[in-house]
This record gives sequence, structure tokens and C-alpha cells, in this order.
Amino acid sequence: MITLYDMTLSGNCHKVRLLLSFLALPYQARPVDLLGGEQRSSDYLQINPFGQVPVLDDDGLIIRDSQAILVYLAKRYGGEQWWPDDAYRLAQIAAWLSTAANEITNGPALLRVHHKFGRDIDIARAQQITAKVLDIVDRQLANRDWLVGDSVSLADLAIYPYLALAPEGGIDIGAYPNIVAWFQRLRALPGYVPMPGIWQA
Amino acid sequence: MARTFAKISFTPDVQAVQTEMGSRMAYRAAEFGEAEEVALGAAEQAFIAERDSFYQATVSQTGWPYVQHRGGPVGFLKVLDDRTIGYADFSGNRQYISVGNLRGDDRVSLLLMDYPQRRRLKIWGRARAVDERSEPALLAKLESPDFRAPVERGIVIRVEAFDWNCPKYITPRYSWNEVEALLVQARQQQPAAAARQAPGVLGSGALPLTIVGIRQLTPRIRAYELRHADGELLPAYRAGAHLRVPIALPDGSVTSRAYSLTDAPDDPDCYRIAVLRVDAGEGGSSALHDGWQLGTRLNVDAPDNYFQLHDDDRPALLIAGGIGITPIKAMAEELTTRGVDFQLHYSGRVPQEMAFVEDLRRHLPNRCRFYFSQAPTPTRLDVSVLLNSVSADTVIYVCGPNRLIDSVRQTARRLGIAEQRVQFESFI
Repeated sequence: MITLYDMTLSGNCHKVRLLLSFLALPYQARPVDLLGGEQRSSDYLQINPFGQVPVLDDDGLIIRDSQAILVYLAKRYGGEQWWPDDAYRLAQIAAWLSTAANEITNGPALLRVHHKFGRDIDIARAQQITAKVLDIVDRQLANRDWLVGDSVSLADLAIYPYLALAPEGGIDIGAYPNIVAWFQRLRALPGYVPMPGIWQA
Repeated sequence: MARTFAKISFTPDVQAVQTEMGSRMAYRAAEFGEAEEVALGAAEQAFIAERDSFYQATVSQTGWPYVQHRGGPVGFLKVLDDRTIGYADFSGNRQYISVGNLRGDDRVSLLLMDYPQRRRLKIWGRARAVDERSEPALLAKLESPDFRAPVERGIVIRVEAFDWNCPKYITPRYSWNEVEALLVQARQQQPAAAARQAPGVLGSGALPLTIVGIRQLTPRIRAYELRHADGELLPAYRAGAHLRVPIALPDGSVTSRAYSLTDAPDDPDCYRIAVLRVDAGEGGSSALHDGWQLGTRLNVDAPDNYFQLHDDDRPALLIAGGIGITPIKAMAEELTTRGVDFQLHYSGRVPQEMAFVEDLRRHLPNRCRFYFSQAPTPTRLDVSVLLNSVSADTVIYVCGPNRLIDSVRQTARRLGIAEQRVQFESFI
């Protein structure tokens, strides 16, 4: 049985929920009370010393970090469509996973944390990072449907939630037409599930 | 009473140009009589306190004007009294041009801008440098508590004149902080605007529901999971039942549509429906897709059932076309639970456009057959062959397009199957 240590409003949890749904894998969600500080409890720190969600428990196998969970699920359950054998394509996907952990986290995700949950941040820097990464993603999608290859991949799933949640961070995502068109393609995929606050047409 | 700024700045050359350009008469009044007593009023003092920058001109030893931009935290230019202002001189590029100029000529001219409000204030005065050794108390008054750049010295200006100017050619500009403040304002207004567009609760039925799950099944079919808004159990139903739901149309009116419940009635906590988006239709399904979100509240009537499944152990033949699978899937699940024999035949264009194909394959592998009319190798449901092959007590259920239902009913009639053994529900 797969258990996802989950938080409804977390975009990082949502990328895992999306892949689980696309792969039609049954799982149970185990909500972690982040506002109540459960992630700092000693029980939780045993599961993830970083005290973060999501964490995946697949029959006792514990995987932390949303990008790592995507890799695990894709390789174990996804087949060639989700875990391509080609070295170059895999590297391209890995590059976007890095972008998700770096620019996306320090840009749009951080702005959302500030606006939605009131955390004190360096706003100008986060906005600068956001503008840069949105511009790059928008250009990347100008002549193609998906970030890597001809079909949806981990790259899209890793980047998607916090871009679709960017309006909650005060970002006018409508100014990036290629990104919005990509949102629409993703939302039409069988298995797509939304989360609260996510971009609506 | 004469304006001091006019006494200072309307020099003989300036007056000559005013005369040439025809504006002299309008400005002359500013110079008549005794000069006014200059004092910064409440408006000037407030304006100065809100600034985070200003421009300052000094006069050099060689007669050249020198204009400098000064910036700091809001309020760093301080009003010491109604004729005195001053600021801390933060360590800069160490050229000391302004400070050097002040040594030979203490006259300064300041320009204070409020770009968003398109206001500006000019101040003339005489400036002197204040340092920590000679006047520590005065210098301390110029420091800003939350700005910790090293203070080298202070500049204190005795105000001799000021003037507000015409806003005509000021382009509104906004600092980061001002933009942030505007964004916060906009965000606070947004929920109110959204609430106006989407009424809080749709419909007037007695059963309050909340949309708690949405899942895309195919590019055009979306599944919705609805639960009781107050967490209570839901009224029970039987396979074949439908729920009539309210939908807000783009023109603001509210309509309703009936959708079959797609799951066996073994979960008293939730209702599930699946909605095909029909863009060429009357707009109900597309408005539902566009308007229903996680958290949307609906008031509905309890499910109703015009497509009842039989209660006894007779076998069933289930036939579904396209989105007609929705009540048929619930029936298949209920029959499975009851241990009643059945077969399910599901036809559509291509598997990618058909809801629940994978679910059914996975969970009912030996009970289902699929037909794909537009697949590379098309397969078609042959109604005659199918109805010919069933036992005499089999009850037949069909749901889908009218032509499928007509075909099943006509074939049944031709084969002498009693009408009460053929149950149907049509989708428009």
C-alpha cells in the first residue's frame, strides 16, 4: 500500500498527487498538520529529518522530497512514457527537476508563501527569480506542447503546481500565454486532478 | 503678500523672459509687498516626512550648478522645526562635491517628488554640515533607527522659501514598496469581486453538498466527487440513480442538469458523477466544467431513479454507448457486490475518449467487452448477435445515444423479447 504524507495546500504534494492519479495508483493520503507543527515532531522527523512534506511510504520504503518521489514512481510504475531510457531525454527531465527545486521554489513558490501564509521574504529577489523563470518557461513552450519530448513528462509535473499557483503569489500568469496554453493541455489529461487555489481559466 | 520663492527666483533676467513671453503680469502679484514669513505648514511637513528621496542642487566655486540625488528610508529627510529640515549624510562615493560646494556657498535648492500622486515641492534654503564631534545631539536627531548605514555627518537646512508646482508633466512612477502596497490592495479586493461573480451557493434543494474532488477522466469528461457540506451521511441511492444539479450559466442565470451517479452505492459519504463537456450543446456542461471548482457549494434534491436495477438474481446484460457508461458502471459494480451474473458491452469512438475503460478492464476483466468504432482497427457492437445470445430471463439495460437505444429496442421487439425486460435511459 502506498501512503502519501500529504498537505492539501502544498504544491509539492500536488505534483505527487498528480503523478499518482495519472498512473492510477491507489494510495492513502495521510494529512500532516503543518500549521500545528506536526512536521517537527520526533515521529515525523524519523520519517523525514528535513521536516517537510511530501513523503512517500511504499510498503515500508520511505522516500522524501517531491522530485525524488516523482523519480521513484516513474521508474517503478510509470514505464517508458514516464521514465524514458534515452540518456539525453532523461537529462533534460532532470534539469527541470533541478529548476523545480531551485528557481521555482525560490521564486513563485516563495512569493505564494509570503502572500498566502505571511512569511517574511526578500520580495524583490523572489520577484526577479520568478520573472526570469516564467520568461524562460514561456519561451520554452512557444513552439512545443511539453517541456521535454512530445508528451507530458516529470518535467511538466515538477514545474506545474507552483506556476499554476503563482496567482496566489500576486503574479499575473495571464501575461504568459504559452504557459496558460500548457496549463490547459495539462488539465485536459486523463487523470488530472486540481487542488485548491490552482489557476482556473 | 509677496512669495519668498518669487523674491529669490524671479531675477531681472527671469522677469525679462516673463515679459517677453507674456506671463509677467500673472506672476507680478507674487512679488508685491512685504515678503511672507516662511514656515512649513502641516501639508509641507507631511509631504517631506513621506519622501524616500529628493534632488538637491548646490552652487560650485566656479558657478556651475551641481544636482545630486539623495535617497534613504522613508522620512530620512526630517523636519526639525517649521523652518528647519535636515538629513543624515550616509557614506557615499566620497567625492564630497555637495559638501565641498556648501563650504563656499551655503545655498541649496531641493526638489521633492511624489510620482504616484504627481506632486512636487521645491525648497530653497541655506545648508550647513553638522558633525558628530561638535553637535552630537543634533546629528542624533537625523538618524533613522531602522537604517544602519554609517552616518558621517548631517546636513541641516534653514528653509528660506518653498513652492508647490503644477503636476502637468509628472509621469506617475511607483517604487517597489508602493507597487507592493497596491498589490495588497488589489488582492484584498479580489475575493469580493470573485464572490460577486460566483454566488456562494448554487441551487435551492434541501441537501447541501460541497465539491471535494475533481478528476479529468478523458480530455472532455471530468469526474466530480460531492460530499455533504456539513460532513453528514448522504441519502442512500441504488445503481441507475441520478442527481439533478444546479449550474450557473455565463449570463448569470441558473439552470440544472441530471447526471447519473457513477459508483456502486456502497459509500454513504459521497456521490460521484462524470460530466462530458458538450461545447455544441446548450452550454450547461461547459458552464459546469468552467464554473465548478473544489469547494463549490450546491444545494440539491436527493438522488432520483428512473433506471432501476432489478432486485432478484436474474442475469443482466448491460449496454453502454459513450457517456452512457455512467449509470451502467454503477450497475456493474452493484451486481458484482450482489454476486449477480452480468455482462457489460461498452462502445465508443476511441478508448482515449471513453470514461472508465481502464477501471473496468482492471476490476471487471472477465465481464466487459469494449468496441471502438474509430480505432485503427474498428470494432463494432452487433446488437442482433448480442441479444440473440442471451438467456430468456436476462434483463437488458441500455444507456447512450438514441440510435443505440432505438437499435436495442427494435432488435428486442424483432426477437420477441418482452418490453419490460428492456430498460433504457437516453442522454440527449
